[in-house]
Amino acid sequence: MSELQLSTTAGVLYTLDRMTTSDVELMLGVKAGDDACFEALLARYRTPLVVFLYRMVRDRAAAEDLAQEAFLRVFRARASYAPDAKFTTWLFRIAANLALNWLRDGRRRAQELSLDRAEEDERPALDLPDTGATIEQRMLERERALRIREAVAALPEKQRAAVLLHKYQDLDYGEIARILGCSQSALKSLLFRAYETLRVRLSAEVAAPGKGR
Amino acid sequence: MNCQRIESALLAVLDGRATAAEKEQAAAHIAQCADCARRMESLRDAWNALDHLPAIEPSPLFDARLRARLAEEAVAPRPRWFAWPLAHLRLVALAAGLVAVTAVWLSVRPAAVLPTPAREQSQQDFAVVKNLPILENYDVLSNFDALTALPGAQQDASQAQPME
Ligand SMILES: [Zn+2]
Repeated sequence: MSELQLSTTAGVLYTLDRMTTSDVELMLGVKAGDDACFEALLARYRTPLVVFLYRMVRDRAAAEDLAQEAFLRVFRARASYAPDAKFTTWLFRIAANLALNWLRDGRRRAQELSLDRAEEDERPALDLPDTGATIEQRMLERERALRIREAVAALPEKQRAAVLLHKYQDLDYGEIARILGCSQSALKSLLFRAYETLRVRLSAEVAAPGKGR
Repeated sequence: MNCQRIESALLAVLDGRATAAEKEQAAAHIAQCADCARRMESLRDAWNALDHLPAIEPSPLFDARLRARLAEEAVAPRPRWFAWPLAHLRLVALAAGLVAVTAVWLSVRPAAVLPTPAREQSQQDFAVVKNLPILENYDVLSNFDALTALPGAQQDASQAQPME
């Protein structure tokens, strides 16, 4: 009953400027029952979450399914939400666990099958910007993107998660360590090993710089 | 300083989070270690190459599917959140029933006993008013159900796929 009254208040409050409202404020709005706040969080993190999960599991349908599951879990847990940690740390922790579990379960499935499917699934999904480059240039760009993807995909799962969170999300070492459930120093060595592996795998790729653009 | 102990500083230089001390450490080591100088260079190439890692856009049906899943939970017994508006709907019905009964009773009874039931009734009216936003929530829920019908078939397909 009191939740309801809070929700109306929150509704008025958060419709004012939802774009600049902090994640924590939005999540407190969700906790108070304001659907608009959930929508705002969804709008903010839908794409980063789907992209992160896609790069983890390499399966578009699975990535979307897992992202939805992550949002569902946030919604289910809203009543016990306490703003003691950064929202993204929580969200990506849920997502990373979902991805790692999915991959672990997947090892029992026919893996090659799903990889083939990912390959096929993704061909049109390579969103290389149309920079007015020639067809050859674009083919090279595409080739390059595929090789980078292969190199990232070949990383051990936890290293891959660490790199994806470190390179593409605005998270510091402490936050990533919390997401992956390890110490900061363990994370740093995990990251360094991952980048070492990548640099070796991509050295053929980057041996010819200046190409492309 | 040995090459392994400098890794943390190299990493921080790579991602641009190095403190002044780390920058100095890394620079000093690189200046006198050709291996690490090369290593740092190719690390930077790899770091930049990652800018070209392919991404995807969520499908246009992403939100609709998520809402359908939220609505599914609403009808399932599990979550308390979507269950309580329905529980309160019953309260609303109960309150409305009481109001009706009281009204009938009042119309039959002599006016002398009015004060007490009048207060009761106003409380019941207040209960109904207080529950109105819940009814709005219920409308939202119903709309979620409408969305279920829209992407339903495809949603089932996409959920089934990863389980193959
Ligand atoms: Zn060295």
